[in-house]
Formats: sequence, C-alpha cells, structure tokens
Amino acid sequence: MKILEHDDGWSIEFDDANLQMIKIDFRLGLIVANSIDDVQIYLGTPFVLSSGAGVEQSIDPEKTQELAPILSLFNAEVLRIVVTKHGDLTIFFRNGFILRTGPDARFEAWEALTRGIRLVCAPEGEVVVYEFSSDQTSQSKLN
Amino acid sequence: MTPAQRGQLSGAPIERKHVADERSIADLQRERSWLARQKLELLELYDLRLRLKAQLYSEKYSPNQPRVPKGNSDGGQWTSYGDGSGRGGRVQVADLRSGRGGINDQRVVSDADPEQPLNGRTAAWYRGPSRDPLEINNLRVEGVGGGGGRGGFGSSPPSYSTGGGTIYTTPRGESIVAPKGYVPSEATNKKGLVLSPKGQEPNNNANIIRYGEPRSESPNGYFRYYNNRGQPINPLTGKPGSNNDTHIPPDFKGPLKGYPGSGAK
Repeated sequence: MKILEHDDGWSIEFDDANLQMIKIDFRLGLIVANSIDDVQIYLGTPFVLSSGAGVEQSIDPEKTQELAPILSLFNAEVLRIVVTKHGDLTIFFRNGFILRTGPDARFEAWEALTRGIRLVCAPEGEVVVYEFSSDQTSQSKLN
Repeated sequence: MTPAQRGQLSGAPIERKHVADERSIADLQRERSWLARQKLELLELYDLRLRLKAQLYSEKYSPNQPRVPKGNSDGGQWTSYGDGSGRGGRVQVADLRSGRGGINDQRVVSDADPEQPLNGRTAAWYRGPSRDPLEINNLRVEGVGGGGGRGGFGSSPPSYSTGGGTIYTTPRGESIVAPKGYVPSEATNKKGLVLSPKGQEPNNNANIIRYGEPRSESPNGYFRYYNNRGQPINPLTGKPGSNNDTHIPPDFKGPLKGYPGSGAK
C-alpha cells in the first residue's frame, strides 16, 4: 500500500487488496486490506455507488435497509482510494464499481484510518489530518 | 585621530555589549528556569488544594448548595459565592481521581430543579469565554481557560493536570476532561484535537475523545467520543448513535453516558 500526497489530496494505492470486512452500525465501515496493511473507511453520510454499467444508487448508511448493494462488494478487489482536501472520497474497485462520497454540511461525512494517519472529513468539507509517527503512540507530539 | 584608532575605540564598546548580551541571555535562562519551577510548585499546590477540597466536599456535600438560578446562562450550576445570583458562578470541572464532581459523578451540573440536583447530569467539558480562568471545585486556575483565539492550539493546548486526569482547553475556551493516561494529538492543520489512551495505535478509535473546530453549522465546535469498539456514542444512552446524536455541542448539559474513563463498557 502506498499513500501519495498530491496538491489536492491523497491517493492510496493498493497491491492485491480486497474489501475484507464490512461493518454496519450507524455508519458503514469498510476495511480494505492486503496481507500487510489495512485502511478502515467509515462512511457516516449518504454516498453514491456506481456499477461498471453506469447504474448509480444513493445510499444512506443510517438507513440500513439501503445497504444491501454494498454486500455484493464483499471481498472485491480495491484498486485505490482517492481523497481530496475538500472532502471528496472515492473508492475504485477492480470490478468497475465506484463508491463516491463528499462532505456534509452538519456532520463528519467520513473517516479514514490507516497506519500513521487519520483523516476526518469535517462538516462543510475540510479534511482534518492527524499524523502520527511511530513514537507518538506512546508519547504525544504535543508534550 | 587615525582611522585605526577610531576602529580600536569603536571596537571596545561593541565587545562589551556582546558580553552584556551573553550575560542577559544567561540571566533570562535562569529566570525562565526559576519561573518554570515556580509554576510547577504552584500547580502542585493547586493539586493538593483540589484534593483537600474534594475530600472536604465528599464529607460536606449538600444537595441544597446554592445554585445559579434557572434562566441564567449558567442556570442550575453550582455557584461558588453562595448568593444564588450567579455572579462568578462557574461549572465545576472535576478532580477525576477523587471521582467527585467528575465524569463519574452524577451530581454535577444540573439545569433542573435545585431541589432535585442529582438526576444524572455531568460535566466532562466546560465552555467559557476565552482567557477566563477556569474554576475547578471553587479553585480558580489561571491561564487554563482560552488558548488565544482562532487558529489552533499553539505549540500545546493549555492543560491542567488534576492528578487523576487532565483538562484541555481549546482555542475557543472549551475544556475537555481527559481520563488519566490519555495523550493529546493535534490535527496538523490545527482544526481538531484527539485524546486517546497512551500507547494506542492511531488507526484505533477505541475510547478516543475528539474535538472538531467550529463551523457555520456548529459555531462552537463539537465533540465526539467513542466506545471500546470504536463507535461514536450518544451521550444520552451510552450506546452508538446517529450523526445527530453523536456530534455533541460543547455546551451540552446532560449525562455523558459511556464517557471514556467512566468505567462504562
């Protein structure tokens, strides 16, 4: 897995990674992993799922009855995740499906966690970044 | 006078000034060190006084203690002056170690009828005007309230260690109680603060407390806290909740069920 920072955001490139776990509570949790790394994505507000054939569905994670289409993506290969600094997040699957979400006016739209970095899409869209070096887990960078 | 003589004469005072500068720097360093020691001693005294007050409080607590009247912005909160007028009344933020007035304490802030002050209200964070001193169990803690306006926490968020936990104050003046053993991490763009158990991996949301900066829809910012499975919690139920229930305004007055460190699972 490679995390590349661009002027406009980040892209996370995967090598042989799959959607290995789907979690449902009031959010939709997607755990993308290969044998080495994982990325946890938590979607808290509506997102759009596009099939390779161009069919789009809007899904609200707080309405669990809408989540069925996501289940078909379990174990699907993930190519990359692209995040813009203005809060757009897109997940590209090898089977052609694309999941897109963007900022929400009132709530945190999504959160992405991986080794050493936590990205949070704050209300209105700015991505808040928490970076951690290996020694910061035992000692705060602020202390 | 030849140019060479002028050089010698003009060189001497410059040399003396250099020595004076060095002395001044050394003095400043000594002064700074002395001030740091004084500050530490002062904080230790505060801590001692806080514990004594907590002990006294535990022995003398009275549900009839004067409170700021309802209708006041601090309505229902304990006032330190006892006249019920609300002058100088401040939320009491707790000594977590004593468990009195803290997040475990069901007796703290209430905007309910003063005759029934024990109905499950808590105060784990405090919001006050920036730069105001924070009052903890009637103890004024100078320099805690307010981090200096918008634009981040600076090099470190103002904090006060109670021995059992730490109170962090945001740039807007909101203070967050972190349980003992928690460490802060500030967002790289200064727009948020995460408090998490020391040693916990950053990709783990379990039991974290997070503060987000003000936005137009949440002009005072918001807090979220998570359970041991990394789910954001509804403070009224202590269970995972919707977005509306888990983005908590800093002036929220109610139970904070399942707050990290409160012992709830």
